[in-house]
Amino acid sequence: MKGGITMRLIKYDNLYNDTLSELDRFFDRTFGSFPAFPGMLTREDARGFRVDLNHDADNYYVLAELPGVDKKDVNIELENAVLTISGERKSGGEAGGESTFRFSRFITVGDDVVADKVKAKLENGILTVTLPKREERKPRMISVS
Amino acid sequence: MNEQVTLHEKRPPESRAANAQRYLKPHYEVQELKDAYHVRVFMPGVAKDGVKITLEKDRIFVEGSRRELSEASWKPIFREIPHADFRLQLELNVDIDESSIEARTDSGVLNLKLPVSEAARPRSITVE
Repeated sequence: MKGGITMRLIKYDNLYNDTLSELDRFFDRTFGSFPAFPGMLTREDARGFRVDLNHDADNYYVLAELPGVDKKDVNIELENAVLTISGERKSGGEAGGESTFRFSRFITVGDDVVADKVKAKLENGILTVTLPKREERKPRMISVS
Repeated sequence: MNEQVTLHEKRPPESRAANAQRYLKPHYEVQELKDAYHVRVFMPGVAKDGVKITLEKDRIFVEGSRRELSEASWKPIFREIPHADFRLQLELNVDIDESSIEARTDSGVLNLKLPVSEAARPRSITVE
């Protein structure tokens, strides 16, 4: 190509386009219609990924599918009740042609998270973020005296 | 001119809809190296011992089973990650040296290196 401009075409829905549409239908049939994936795309140049949000009495648990991502390339931020997971995956390999794809997703968790005790681990391409709930907000049993 | 070589995905014989309920087709990428194909199969949540690779004539079956990601005591608020195993079937239209296939897993990605057999490699012939 002449000149200094290099254009890169990135297929917009490359990552999970096939399975997602099938899954949508599957989930719709099985569990009824889900709310639209919140914050599936947070930035125009970043792709979304699938997440789970769970909780129990002590913590919120966010699971995210991030295959092939190095843990040093993941950023996790918590601001108010919004958890943002972003980063990049360097794909490419021995044939060269290194390319980077960026991902970003935000998930609204409860506002009762102890922000400085949030933990995350990345294992087999699954990111697990554990967000402890504040003590005073936990449900407690009150006995009638 | 090199002959065009491609890896075809083989559609399972049963209907796609029925199949999609039980298995997920993983995202995959194929890269053509000088004398091999490098296939990366993205299967988040699948550990090394959850991968099964089967070769049958000109087909490669990849199965990835993932263990339960959530604990039983967790209550879901919303869940998008399907509880299904991965399955991919690739049809090879080029001769692969089966004895030297390399496979390794790394952070939820299966890396398959399929060396093109000696006989199927393009060669240049010098005119004498």
